[in-house]
Amino acid sequence: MKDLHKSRLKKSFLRGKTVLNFALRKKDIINEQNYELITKNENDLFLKTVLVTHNQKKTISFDISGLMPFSDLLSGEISQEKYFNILSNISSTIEYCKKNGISSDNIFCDPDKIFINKSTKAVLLAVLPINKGSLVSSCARSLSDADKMARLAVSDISKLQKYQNFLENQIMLKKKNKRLAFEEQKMKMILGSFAEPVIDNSDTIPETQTPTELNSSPLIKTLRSVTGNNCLPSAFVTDSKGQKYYIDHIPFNFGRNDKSENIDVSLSDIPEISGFHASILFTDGKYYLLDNRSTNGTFLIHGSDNDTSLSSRKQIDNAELSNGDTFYLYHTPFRFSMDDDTSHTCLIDRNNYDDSKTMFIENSGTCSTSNYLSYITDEDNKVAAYLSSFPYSDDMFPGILIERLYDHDRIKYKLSNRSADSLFAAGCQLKQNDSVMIFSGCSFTLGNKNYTFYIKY
Amino acid sequence: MTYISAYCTDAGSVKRINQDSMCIKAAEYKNNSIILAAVCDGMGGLSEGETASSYIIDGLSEWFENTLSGLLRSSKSILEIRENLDIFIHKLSDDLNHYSEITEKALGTTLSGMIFFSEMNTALTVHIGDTRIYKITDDSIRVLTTDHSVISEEIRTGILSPDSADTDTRQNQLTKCIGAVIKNAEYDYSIMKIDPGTVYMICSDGFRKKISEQEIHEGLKPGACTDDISTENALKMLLNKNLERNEIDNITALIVKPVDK
Repeated sequence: MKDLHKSRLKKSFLRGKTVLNFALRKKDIINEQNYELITKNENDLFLKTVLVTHNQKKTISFDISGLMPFSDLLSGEISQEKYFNILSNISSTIEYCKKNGISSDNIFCDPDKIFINKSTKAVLLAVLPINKGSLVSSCARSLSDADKMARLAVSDISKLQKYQNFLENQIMLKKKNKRLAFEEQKMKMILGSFAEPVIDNSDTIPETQTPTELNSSPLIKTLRSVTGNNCLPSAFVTDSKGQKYYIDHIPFNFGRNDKSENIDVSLSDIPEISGFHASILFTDGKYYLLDNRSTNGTFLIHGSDNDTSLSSRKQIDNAELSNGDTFYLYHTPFRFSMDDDTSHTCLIDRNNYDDSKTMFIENSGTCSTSNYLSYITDEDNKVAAYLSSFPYSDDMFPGILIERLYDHDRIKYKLSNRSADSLFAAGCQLKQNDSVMIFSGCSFTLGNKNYTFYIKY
Repeated sequence: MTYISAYCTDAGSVKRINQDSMCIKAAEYKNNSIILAAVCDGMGGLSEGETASSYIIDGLSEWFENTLSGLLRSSKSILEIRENLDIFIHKLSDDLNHYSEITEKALGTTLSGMIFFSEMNTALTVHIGDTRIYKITDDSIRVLTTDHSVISEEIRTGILSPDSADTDTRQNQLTKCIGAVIKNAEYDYSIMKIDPGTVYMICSDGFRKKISEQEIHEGLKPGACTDDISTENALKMLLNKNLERNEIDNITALIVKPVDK
């Protein structure tokens, strides 16, 4: 659906202007109020928008002359601060639209459809002033595309991961419930406030610019994303009749809606339960219960509490679930149980693994352990250094240089001897100015000390 | 150089399906033996974990039989062989991911394997996940691999103390594996000299969780593995110990012991 939507937005050149045209169909009805809001554009949030009628065919035309596509900015190296600042602007515009009755489904968030005015620094969005109909656009999916494209100099990887988790979650929720609106306020909270301007004057990117080498950036984010149905620790919920529901995928949804609407436990005969009431999620190795802004709320009693009276039930938005907990979708109870069998091997979703709990290690002097990309162990298998920025050199390993290179869809590492008297790696002697490609698990001997190089993911 | 080898595998005390796969294969090249030994632990909760582990073992066997001989004939170095193997395993991983996309069944597996090149007196190891390779001599036992697990990572970064790791409930959680919709995870390789008389043991996590490292050392010392039969018996003894202690996970271990002619 998204592709269909995108394919209707076509670039053309008209009387010295570059425009994006969106051809309306018969069922697309212009919302006059929205149209006025967008064309007035009092807060400089939208692309200049005009409705063109030609031969009874209606087209919404967005003027993009002289503007820089967000995708251009992302194709060069961009600081996380700048990136988050632009994202904050986008979330503010989505929020503004929603407050004024424009659905997030009408907003184009694709990186090549978002534009930046280099003089005013404004981030401008293409928004369709039409009543919600056949259009289905996913802000989360589009922003996720932007995220995959971004070549970031990362300064706060845990915040970045939280943002990526948020997008992932939004995409999943949207998949389950197409009517779900994008949660821009949550996004804003995750992004926090960043002081760096959207774009400074030095940020003019000529069309011919080639991306800077990956290895020259202070810290390139790991482009890998782990998605899909990773294995889950065995868990199930039991309803009041003793019926068991195994949580074999995430999110696991509860609601009054039909199973065909991606509800896993459908409670169509209980009117107090919302259509898409609550979900069970799995993140950072733990299960969580999330209330999907239900009308009558979701409540939790921990397994250790014997008191199940109404007053002891705690209303929750998002809470960790432990074995034996009972939760209530308004008044309807479910018991959450985890199998004691922990023998199942399973994979933790990197996007959902919270690295922010990791500590700062002083010995490497280069990075906190939360954002390292590779590490070097000594003979005792102790970590000698965490490597987060490349090219890497350190007094601890005098005379050597490790570079991180991008080779098609793989990242490769190269070890060079710059001035070391004696260096052996991967079974070869490296004389000065010699290099060798190294791999995870590759051992090297510098002087008389043995080390092993590992890649984190 | 000749090789003593043996293996044991069991579904565990509860499970009906064994999602572990393993192989020991031998080939001759210029009158010297080349041995492939590998263990894969299919992802338990993932559907069709056994499909994933057997797919990798079958693929690896095929690579060993068809591709490796060509590489050796064209005098490729051990580094070039490693690179070829790495590309091949990534291709197998892509195949699993493609299967996952079509069937909407996520499947993945760990892998720990060794290839012994007698002529070069060199062994190449490949490792991903929490299967392990042990090097056992009369005096010591050493794990040659690093677990790709949440616990191992937290111990490394100082969040978790090794003492509290044993009781941590996340023993089963991996940070990387083959397949499971991960693209381009980096696998660990090492190149080492073969120590004749040393026992190289590869096992799934089910083999080592209920028995101590000391018990493994005592049971599988080079002196206990003097031929194929005694080696198999030594492995079976530890397997039974695991079952007696109600190990419910699949249990697989194999041994390759190079011996000077």
